Amino acid sequence: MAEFIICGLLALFFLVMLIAGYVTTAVFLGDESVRLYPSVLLLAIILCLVLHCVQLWKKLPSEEKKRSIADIFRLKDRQTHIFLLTIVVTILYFLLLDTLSFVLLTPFICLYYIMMLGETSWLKGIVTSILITAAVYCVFIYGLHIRLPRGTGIIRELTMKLEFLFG
Amino acid sequence: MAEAFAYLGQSFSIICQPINLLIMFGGVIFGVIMGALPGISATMAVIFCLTFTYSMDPVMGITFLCAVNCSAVTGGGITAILFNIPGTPASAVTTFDGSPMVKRGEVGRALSLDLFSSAIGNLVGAVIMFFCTAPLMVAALRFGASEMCMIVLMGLSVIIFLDESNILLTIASGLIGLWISTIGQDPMTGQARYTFGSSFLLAGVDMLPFMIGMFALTELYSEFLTPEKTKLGKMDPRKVTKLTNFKEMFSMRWLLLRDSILGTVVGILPGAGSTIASFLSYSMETRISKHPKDFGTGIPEGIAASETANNAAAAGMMIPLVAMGIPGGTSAAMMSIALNIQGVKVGPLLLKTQPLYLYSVVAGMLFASIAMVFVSILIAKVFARVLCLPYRYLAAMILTLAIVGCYAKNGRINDVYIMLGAGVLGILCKRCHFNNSAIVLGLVLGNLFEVNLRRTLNLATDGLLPYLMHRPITIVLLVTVAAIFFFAIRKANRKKADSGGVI
Repeated sequence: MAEFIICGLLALFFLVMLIAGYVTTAVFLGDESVRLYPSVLLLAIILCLVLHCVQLWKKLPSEEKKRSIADIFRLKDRQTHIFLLTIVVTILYFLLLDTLSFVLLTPFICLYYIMMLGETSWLKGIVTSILITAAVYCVFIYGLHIRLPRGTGIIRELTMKLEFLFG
Repeated sequence: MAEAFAYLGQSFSIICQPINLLIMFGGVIFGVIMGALPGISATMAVIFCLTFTYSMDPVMGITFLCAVNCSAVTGGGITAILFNIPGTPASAVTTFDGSPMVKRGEVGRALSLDLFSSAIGNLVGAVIMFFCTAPLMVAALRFGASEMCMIVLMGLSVIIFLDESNILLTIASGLIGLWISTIGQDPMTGQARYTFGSSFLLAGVDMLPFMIGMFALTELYSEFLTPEKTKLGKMDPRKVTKLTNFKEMFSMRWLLLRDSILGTVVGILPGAGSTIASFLSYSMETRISKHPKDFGTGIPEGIAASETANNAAAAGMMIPLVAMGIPGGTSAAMMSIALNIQGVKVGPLLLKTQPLYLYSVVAGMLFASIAMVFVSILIAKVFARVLCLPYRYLAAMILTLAIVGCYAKNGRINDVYIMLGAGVLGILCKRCHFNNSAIVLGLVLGNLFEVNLRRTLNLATDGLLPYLMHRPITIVLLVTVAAIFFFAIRKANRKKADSGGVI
């Protein structure tokens, strides 16, 4: 049932894209292929998804169709909660990366992943996350001179000092 | 030809001086490690090494840069196998069989297969370059937009072999990938498509962050949804470091040879490059193989096919560069600049005016291939040990490398968002039995397919059929592609009918 719902939603999304894309894409010198090509692709995708949904619906037992959304998507399951929390934490990390810098923020996300995936010792978790961040930072900053997010304000000044620590 | 051998010998006599030999080995090791780091391409590895060559003898400089370039292309497969993070788009195919092999604990075997196959692909590419530069260039020039379109379509045909039990969704996945490749500026007219006013989407969806998200993040998130799924981190160190053997490599001799030739030929075609070569060879092998079902489950042939063609294409890309001054891809373009700095005037006159430099390029590639065999034994053992760490530490490492890999390429935070989006899409698609590899395949080949398809349609002013009548190569390729699709769908239909279902 979950697959049916997701495929249905995806078909709807692609339908919206088909209409919106066709309307918003400007044509240059009468060359219609600029919007025809993706539209044909979208039509084919929608067709495939609708066909798949019909097949799924036919196969679904009637008791499956009566299940609640929470039941279908296992919203009460602990693993689903952890997964959703991980997505939220990761999004938060990415959003803050440009403001708080790579070097400051990465140990925290590493620690989160390490602890969530079964580490029991906080000390080991903290040391490993710092080591991983430091190793990657050293290779890319000092070894390859590749810039990583520096943050803003005072953090930026600090990370820049750290970057030029070894000349 | 005797002259050619003499020049080759002269180049090797310079390389084989003890100090130069050391520099060359250093270059190969450096190249492999650079290539293994996500976000660092062969192009960047060449840039890093360029400064070292200023004080070198020109022949030594050229061979050194060629060796770095070849070995960096090879290194891309390492993270694809270890962490499911393709170092380059061309290594995406390596993950199909590399990742399942790693999950079985055969890390050393997968890595050594990758490195040995790469060395062979590179070697054959260099040999072809030595003997056939001129005739191959003539043949390649016959390939126009319609032929390229068919070549890409052949590469795309691998989609139907990725999951024969669910062809409808696999085709839908491929189409989704093709559609994602249309987001951003239209490659022909520059019109914005599906950007909805966002400047962030105007540059399109970058392949590398998308692939990293689709493969690495999806794998990582699956671990949160279904813990204990992966056996990584619980492996037997002896099994992990066990490498492939000569017998196994010898049993794949014909595969290695045909994929090397295919890779070199595809590499010569302008705009095709390593990515299409690896997809095409994988697609070809799934059809030729006696056990096509096993592809994607972690078989040596899968890794060998992809990596041989990928590296042979990198060698093939050098042919139009040295013969006509036309770089076949970004890394070849960088090599052209690097060679120019060394005083090499690439182009049709190279053979007449600077023959020694031309054969130095061949010598550099040949040396890299031979050195890679020795280097790979060392590197595969060291890298394989990494996977003996507990998975929780590996997960943190994968995430950090994935972020840095995405960010380092263009220095844009937007690429990191693309990676996250692709990761979430990947997990959603995986749960709904879509095929993530097909999505990536569509994205990677989408742009090339669209450009060549639309160019063909624009050129066929008197109608497509009369136009195709004058393109015999296109017709042959078209019939081949149609046959591939027809037989694959018929086979899947029969299988479904036998099991009482539909496609």
